[in-house]
Amino acid sequence: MKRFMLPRNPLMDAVELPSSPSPTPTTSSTKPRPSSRKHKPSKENDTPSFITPSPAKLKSPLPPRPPSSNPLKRKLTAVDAVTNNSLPAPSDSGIKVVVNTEMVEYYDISSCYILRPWSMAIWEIMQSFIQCMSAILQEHEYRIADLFLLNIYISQSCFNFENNVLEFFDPEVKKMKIKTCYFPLFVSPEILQKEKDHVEDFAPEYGTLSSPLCGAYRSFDFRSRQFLWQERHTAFATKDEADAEVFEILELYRRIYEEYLAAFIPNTGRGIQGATSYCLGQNFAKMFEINFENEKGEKAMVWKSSWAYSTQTMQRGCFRIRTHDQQVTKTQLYRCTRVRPHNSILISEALLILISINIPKKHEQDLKDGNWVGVKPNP
Amino acid sequence: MAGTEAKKTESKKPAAKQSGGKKKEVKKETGLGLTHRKAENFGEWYSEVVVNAEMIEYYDISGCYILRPWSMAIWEIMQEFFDPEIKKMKIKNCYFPLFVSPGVLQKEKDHVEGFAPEVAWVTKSGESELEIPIAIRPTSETVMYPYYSKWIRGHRDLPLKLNQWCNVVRWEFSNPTPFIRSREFLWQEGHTAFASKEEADAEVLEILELYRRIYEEYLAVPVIKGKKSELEKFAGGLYTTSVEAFIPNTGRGIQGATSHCLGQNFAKMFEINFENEKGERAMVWQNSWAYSTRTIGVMVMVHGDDKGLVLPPKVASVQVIVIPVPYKDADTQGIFDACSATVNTLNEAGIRAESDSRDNYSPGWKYSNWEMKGVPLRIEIGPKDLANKQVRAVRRDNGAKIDIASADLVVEIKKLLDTIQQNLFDVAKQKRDECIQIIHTWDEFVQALNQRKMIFAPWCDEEEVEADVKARTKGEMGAAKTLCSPFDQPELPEGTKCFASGKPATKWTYWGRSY
Repeated sequence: MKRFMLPRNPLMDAVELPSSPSPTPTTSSTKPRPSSRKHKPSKENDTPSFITPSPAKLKSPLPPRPPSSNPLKRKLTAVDAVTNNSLPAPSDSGIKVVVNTEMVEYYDISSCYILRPWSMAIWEIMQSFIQCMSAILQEHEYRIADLFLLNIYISQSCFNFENNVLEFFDPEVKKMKIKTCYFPLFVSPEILQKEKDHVEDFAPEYGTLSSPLCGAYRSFDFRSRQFLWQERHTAFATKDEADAEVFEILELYRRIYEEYLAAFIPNTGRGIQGATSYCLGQNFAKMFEINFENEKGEKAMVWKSSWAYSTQTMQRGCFRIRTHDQQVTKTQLYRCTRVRPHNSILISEALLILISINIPKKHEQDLKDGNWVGVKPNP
Repeated sequence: MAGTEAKKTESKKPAAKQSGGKKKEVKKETGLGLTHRKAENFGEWYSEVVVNAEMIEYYDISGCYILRPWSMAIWEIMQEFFDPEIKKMKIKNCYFPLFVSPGVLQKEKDHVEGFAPEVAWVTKSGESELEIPIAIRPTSETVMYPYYSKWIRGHRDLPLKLNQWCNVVRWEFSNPTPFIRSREFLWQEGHTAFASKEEADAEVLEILELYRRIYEEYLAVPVIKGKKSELEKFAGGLYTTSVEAFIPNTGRGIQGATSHCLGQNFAKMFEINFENEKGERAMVWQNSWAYSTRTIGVMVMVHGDDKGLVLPPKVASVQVIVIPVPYKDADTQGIFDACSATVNTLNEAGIRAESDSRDNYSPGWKYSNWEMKGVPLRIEIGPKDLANKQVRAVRRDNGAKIDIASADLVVEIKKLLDTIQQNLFDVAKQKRDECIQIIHTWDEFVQALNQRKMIFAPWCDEEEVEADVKARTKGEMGAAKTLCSPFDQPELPEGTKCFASGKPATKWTYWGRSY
């Protein structure tokens, strides 16, 4: 399954962190692929040995703690934490912003991050918005909601902050038309091989388990090895339907702007980076034998499309939170956006989380405290 | 949930793997129905229901399941109740990475021993071996607590209360059962740190009450709130409280959700210290608490019947299904219009209603289909109903049929949904209570166990005695153990003896086999 990766930046290897405990060198394209494990016997009862790496190889997971709980020391600690991760100078400014604003914390496994409550609240707002907006699109017979292409600024009137819900429709009822599901985290190697055309691109990023049934997981982006996202996959009988879904964005643009949000859309160029929509054609249908019997009784393949947004959408300013009392933070956030150098490394981009929603002053603290209730509770 | 399951080693009746394609639907076929009856072959029945009701699909990796929309909606509805409730308690959501480095995982020996056999490891990236293997979280204590140590410095940093909605992986090897025991499942885990034990103790019970409400008010499943024994508590914790459900058809208890007071054990291990108001150095008191998609499996087991799933209205993504019943020469368009109008009226009133206007299935087939999927209420609209300005409502829980005037539709449907929700709970509670057997001697205990009772017994609360009971009842059906000691303790007359050891009893405790 093709994933929503941005084009690989040639600077990637150059900025590989030397202290990384889990290096992921690029696999040579001439290396032979592993043979099919179709008949691998099940080792259901094997217990993986509990691996204890030698102490010498164990990197200290956390920076040393200062002896005192002096508030000034706490700020110094945050700076030390950044410094101790040995990040190059050009990214210092952005990194300090996300750390000092308590959005993320570095984790002891390289390129993994903790999303702290302030980031999580933002992600929940985005989910709530997408749920409601997708519902209203369903109501108006739209089949997609690639809202992040619109890079919408949501005005104050769209939110009812007293009740923490989007005001102009009831998500509880609208939401029932949206169906979500959960597929397991793991993919077996045989299935993974079916995406032969795409495996080459992803190979360095697969992790493999040493467990009775060999499985794999994926990390899609060097900016973070794990991130949260939403993905939607649809299948149609005809190409026209799949095409229509992809291109309905234009009509969506008009209707959302004119009929619902009365919002200013500053820059669709940035939005395109924030979310993606693909018509997958019949390539995957062929690969995975997704066929159906059509009305004439003939066998046919479906047409597929997909779209997604993720916590990385937050990186591209598709949602912007403007807070009124955080003067220093706001200045730092905007400075990072404006002055980012051309050759800044990718990892610093991952840390520039810019969210803009006009939130009334009195609710800023609620947001920061994590008191965000994304959807109306069930009565 | 965390930890206790790892102690279960007794064998259980395996749920046979159901082929997803076995009952492939064919146009006009009336092949709907279950092969197995709940009362006769519970395990096979369960496996069949969760597939035929389109709740899960078997995945090509054993012990992993796809949660289809019909299940996911239930999980989301429960989340929509629980998430705002914990936010009222100033508990904030966060997200920690899926991975644990081995050094951190090893810090707490008891904790690790509980999970070690089930930890899944990542050893490669692409074709390259990782220098240091990485574990996938079976739970997040070791993932989170190094950062609690970093973030908590003074008493003003307390309490620190975080929750996480996520997936966890426990590579269990025995008896995979959809929702009940799977290698990957969805859950919520809360991890909180306090300055005092009193605060921690209070929160444990507040959270447990929320779990009771999920079960009793949403899933309509009666539960008992109580404390786990020393043998059954969360490894590495101070004490464990739980809500316990019971499955009458199998005579097994099932742990519904857990709220643990961790005491200061993890604080000691991870050096989670703070400077208190007097300037002294102190350790925090911690809790952790969780419920998971296991809740859905419990609901299926308790309420399902030989026609399929039975959904409580509160957690049904479709509460009312409206089915047109066309008839020759009748006003077909009028009937379809009436169905659409009915759905719109109900939706506008906040009721989750849909219509089934598929033209390739008969009304009778549709009735069976939605019964299988457990929709609480079916509305039928035919020519006679149209003429009389009424609809016919049929309850899924008891099959009762009620004619309702269109003018009174919303009021009457709301009443019916409330009635169904309450009835499901009342019926389940009655069945469970009928299974409760009070005993006083070992012979009575063995007899009750064989009769699939939920055994309520006076106990001396000694760990060795519980281990002895386990050893003495070990068999192919699985050993008996404590389920919980209820907070509501009946009087224990002086001189009452422990049923198993003959020593003076100190409390009443529920015993039985469990999932």
